[in-house]
Amino acid sequence: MAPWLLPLAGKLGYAGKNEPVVGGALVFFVAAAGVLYLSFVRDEMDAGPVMKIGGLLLLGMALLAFFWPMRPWPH
Amino acid sequence: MTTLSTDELDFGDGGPEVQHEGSWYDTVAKAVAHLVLLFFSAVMTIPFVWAFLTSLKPENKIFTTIRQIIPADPTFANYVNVWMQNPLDRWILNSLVLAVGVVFFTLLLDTLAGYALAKGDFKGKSLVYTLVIGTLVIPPQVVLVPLYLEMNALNWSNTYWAIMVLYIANPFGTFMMRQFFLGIPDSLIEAARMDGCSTFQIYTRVMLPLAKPALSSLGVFTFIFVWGAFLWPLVILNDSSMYPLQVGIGLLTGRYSSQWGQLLAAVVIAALPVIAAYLLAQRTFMEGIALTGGKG
Repeated sequence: MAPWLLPLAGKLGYAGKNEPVVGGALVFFVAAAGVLYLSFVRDEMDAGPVMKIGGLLLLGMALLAFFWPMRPWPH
Repeated sequence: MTTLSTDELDFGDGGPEVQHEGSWYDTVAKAVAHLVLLFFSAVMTIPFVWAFLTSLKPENKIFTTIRQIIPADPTFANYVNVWMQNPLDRWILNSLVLAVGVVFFTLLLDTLAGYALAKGDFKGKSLVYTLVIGTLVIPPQVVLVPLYLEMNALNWSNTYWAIMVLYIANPFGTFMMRQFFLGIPDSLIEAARMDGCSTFQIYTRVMLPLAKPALSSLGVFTFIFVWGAFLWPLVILNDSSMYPLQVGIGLLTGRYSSQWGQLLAAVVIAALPVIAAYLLAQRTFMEGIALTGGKG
């Protein structure tokens, strides 16, 4: 493993109070890509609406995590 | 012409009698079974219903009206307060990041490992399988300190990865998927091989679609487990912005006083995604349990 990879992963995996959750966005994006591929490309999976909507929801979550400080509701 | 008849035969020869459906014995047995089931359902459900109804009471009336189950003047003030006074949205996002990541990679890696252990032919297969099952008997608390030191050495404490890496590829999932793949006939693999599929294509085009019920139940099991994970995240995280929901809720209780209404409101919020996950995948979840012989 490249020596620069671990510190980079460590940086991506942490997000402070009002920072974009980049690690979370990455996780959501990878999961969304996998689920959407299985739902819309692989016909063998015979994906139902829950799986298809779930993939799109994960994509939305990736955007929400990336734009976290600008989230639409205050608290 | 000979006529065959059973009229003269006597079947009432003192042998065991078969209880037919609809008899009083059947009715009583069903009633007893239902009473037992209702009792245990109530034991499981009543605390959650009580928590929900108590979360609707104003903070100052929780202990004075503790014997009054249904609140006289229900209010959602506790829900509003706990949401406004704590970073609950961030904790929910953290829990979702962990749960989604762990479920996705668990399903990916456990199906690959389960497929290899069920249908693969390689040296040391039984040793690998024994090692996988062997990890199930080690209590997680035993390895807590070494893991903490390891994550610190990697400089990964206070990150999502420190939690996700620990839970990904759990041995229970590998065992469950292996049991499922063992039930799939080899003729399907041979047919796919004759059609020109590689081993990986057999996995993606034949095995994975067939494993949908098992994937669904494993996904729900893993989601529920990660959503409720408490000890390891509590140990490895020390920044409140990185807390998952369960750790955040756990630290809402103060040393000298606690906002019990807000705490119960947060608990009810925390339970909602698990209930939703189960309801969404209920049918395939049951199929998966039946097919793999797994249980919660």
